[in-house]
Amino acid sequence: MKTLVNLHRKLTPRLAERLHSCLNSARAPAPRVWPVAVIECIERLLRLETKAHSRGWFAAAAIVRSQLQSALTDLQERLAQLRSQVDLQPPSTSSLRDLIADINALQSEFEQVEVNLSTSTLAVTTRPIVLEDVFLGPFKIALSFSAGQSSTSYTVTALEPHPAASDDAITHPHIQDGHLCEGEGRLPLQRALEDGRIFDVFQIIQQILTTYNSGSAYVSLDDWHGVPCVTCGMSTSDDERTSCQLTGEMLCWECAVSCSDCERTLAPDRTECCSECDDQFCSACLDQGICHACQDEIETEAESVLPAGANAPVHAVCLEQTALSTGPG
Amino acid sequence: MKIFLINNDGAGFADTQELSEGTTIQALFAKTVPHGRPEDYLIRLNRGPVAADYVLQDGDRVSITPTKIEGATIRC
Repeated sequence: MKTLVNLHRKLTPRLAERLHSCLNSARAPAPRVWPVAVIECIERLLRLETKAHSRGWFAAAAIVRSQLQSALTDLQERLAQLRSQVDLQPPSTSSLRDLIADINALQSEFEQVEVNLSTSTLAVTTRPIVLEDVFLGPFKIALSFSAGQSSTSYTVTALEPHPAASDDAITHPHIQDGHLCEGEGRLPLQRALEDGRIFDVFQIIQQILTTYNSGSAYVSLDDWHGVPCVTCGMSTSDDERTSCQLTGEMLCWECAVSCSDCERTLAPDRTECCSECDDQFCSACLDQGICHACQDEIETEAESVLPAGANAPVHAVCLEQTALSTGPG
Repeated sequence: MKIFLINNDGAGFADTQELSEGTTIQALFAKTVPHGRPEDYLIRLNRGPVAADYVLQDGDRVSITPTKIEGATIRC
């Protein structure tokens, strides 16, 4: 540890210098433009106006005066713009001393601090992060910058990934493919980066990592370990599952079955096959094992098989039986 | 006296502040984040922890960072 501390003491000032150079490059003012062309135009118009008056060309002088007015207005606007550029003070960047103090202070705030001159990277390791009893592990926050270049960037990497069951690329509810969605932290983080407040940069990112926004997560913590399908046991995410409309149990789309009559989504063990057509139905759509459509068909067929007059009363004589007298005997 | 105040709440800002002698960290917080509770913030003096009754000195650097900063997804 002592060696590490000594190493940091040697490397930190050099890294701070590189970072300071990078931040200052970002603050170089935009080139100032002196309106030479407009001024030359005004000078020429002034000469023309004088000449026109001296020769009595009053109509021409009037035209030149109008052009002069336009040019002077243009010059006023350009000078006002230049004035506002000069007056606008760039936000003060951290001094070299501040940067060194920030880097040194990180050691008491984070588990581990790494200074890498070869890659111009400053990295910290957070404590293991647990959100709502879901263990996500420690994360490494690495800030990269290059001397002479004006941009800094950071990455957040899970060191012991415990990703969402549905997507390996989601190692934190607000990290996908290594990209942290800053949400509320975007503006203060941007300001801290612009100002070179390195300690604040890392602290803000850490607070984002340790806060769960259930309303805007790539995968909610409730679903982090997935929800098993009640039939096959496969872990499912939100868009991979539905539920049985009889029991409310979670089902993957592969296992879910639809009643061929009422079209309700059901678990396979909540359906039965019609003994006639073999299609699957819920129990409410079967009558003695036969679906309504098949029952109707059976009834229709039965009616068409019966001969004409089958329902007429049977006369005794037709059956070769002696008719019995119906009078008194 | 002047201190350097960093407020990482909301849009965030960092600027020097003119304060009267004897102002404590607690008083500064109440003035800076009037509707906030100190326990919901990381309050650092010169990059280290500080007691609420600490009396600020000229040149001190104070940062106030919410403990909860919500990330997002599609809004990014």
